Amino acid sequence: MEIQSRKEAGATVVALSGRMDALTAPEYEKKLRELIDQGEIRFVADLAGLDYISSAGLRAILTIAKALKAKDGRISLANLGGTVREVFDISGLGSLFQIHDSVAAAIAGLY
Amino acid sequence: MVNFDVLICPAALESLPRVIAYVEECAGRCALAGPKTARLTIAVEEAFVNICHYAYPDGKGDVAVACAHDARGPRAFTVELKDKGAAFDPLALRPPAESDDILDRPVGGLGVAMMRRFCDEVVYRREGEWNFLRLVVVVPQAAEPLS
Repeated sequence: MEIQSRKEAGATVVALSGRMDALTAPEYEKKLRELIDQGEIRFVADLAGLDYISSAGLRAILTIAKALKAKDGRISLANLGGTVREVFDISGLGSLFQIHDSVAAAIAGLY
Repeated sequence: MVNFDVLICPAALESLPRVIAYVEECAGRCALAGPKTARLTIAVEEAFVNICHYAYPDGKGDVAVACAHDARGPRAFTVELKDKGAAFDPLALRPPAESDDILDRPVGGLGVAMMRRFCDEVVYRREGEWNFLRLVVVVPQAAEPLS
């Protein structure tokens, strides 16, 4: 899985691509924790490039969301498609997150 | 019935890419493609990861993964995972009742929900020293095998 991060309009956009599975999900946690340690607290996870997500990926996303909440931070999600969207819906996690159709809308929703 | 060669690998997360690649290749040869394959491989991961977590609490062990395709009748594509670990019915893991529960529940309950949703049939059985977990998806009738 590839993870790219950039700053946009005061938020940190983390773009994931490839597969988020039990082996790669820890990379997401590690990267986000590094960014949080650097003081970032407003995040958008852009999942447009994600082909695949399993329950391990959901747990990693939820773990970071909880860590952020404890610091008064937030993360919203953008561009969930296909099977990724389905996995979120089955898990019920869809109701825990702000989910948007674009990064711009997700950033706006953070404020 | 077409039985593909069995994949045997350690019950460890590092084996996951091999397991998924194996299932995708077998599924591709049966013209099971697109979203149904994607969902099946998620189910296989969930099953495999549960075995990694629970089958061999005292050490290491192997998992055998076997794909099979029944081209007649309902045209079922089957993935069976077999391990010689502790007797453990992964289907007994309770899915989290609420989303917030996910991190507090033992790993695996959410995976079971995925397996049940993404497969047409999920069956566990214990035979002697072996755990067997069978995942079945039915291939739509319209699909023809690639030659």
